[in-house]
Amino acid sequence: MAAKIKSKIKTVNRLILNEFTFLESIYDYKPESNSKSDSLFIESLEVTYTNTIKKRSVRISYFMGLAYDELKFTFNASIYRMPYSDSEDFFSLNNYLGSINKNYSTSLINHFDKNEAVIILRKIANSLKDHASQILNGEVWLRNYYPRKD
Amino acid sequence: MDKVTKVAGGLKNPEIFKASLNAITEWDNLLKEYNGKLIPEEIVKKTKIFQENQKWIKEVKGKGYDILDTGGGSTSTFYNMEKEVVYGSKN
Repeated sequence: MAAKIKSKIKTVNRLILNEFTFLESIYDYKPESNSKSDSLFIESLEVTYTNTIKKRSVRISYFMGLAYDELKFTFNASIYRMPYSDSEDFFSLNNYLGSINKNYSTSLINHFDKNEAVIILRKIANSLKDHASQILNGEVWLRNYYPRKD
Repeated sequence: MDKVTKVAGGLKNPEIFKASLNAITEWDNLLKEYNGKLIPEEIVKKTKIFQENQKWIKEVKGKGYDILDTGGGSTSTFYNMEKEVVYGSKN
């Protein structure tokens, strides 16, 4: 790909902070943003919401990458319990939704549209509210919803 | 991983591979990006979870641990890497 791709980090960071305010207002989590680029993703952003009393962290991820020659802008969410020791402390929202046949695409392909990004982030936020409320509250933990490597 | 955990449960002081938080988050993101499609081997090899797994298996081999092979898919980049380290060949 010869054309230079404009970073979406600032825009996405703002969108995430806006769509996930419920984590701060209802569950008392505190956000922290980190962005980077590496050999895997052209750029990526992680907004990590943490509540040390409930011993939970929620990661909302955004990443731009090439997959089978398509430029993809993808969003994802996961939760981990603190302190993280191994994969049993990791809850993949994607894996969980797949297990109940409620998975959906969270990628924008070849073109970043702010309004579509908001729709995706809102769906993820609603999934967390609908399916992970007790986890966010630190009341329960669901095991075996980590991404398997084989 | 479930099978590995199950087998390890019956052993005394087993060591099993534990992915770091950043590695498992990155892997979860990659699965989401490929959305059910096969992730190319050259991409898998760049991931933190693959590199951590490779470092771990080399270490346990180097320390002389008994290594239990619980099997795996012949097309698994991870399993093939582990076999190469343990047996010197992926076949």
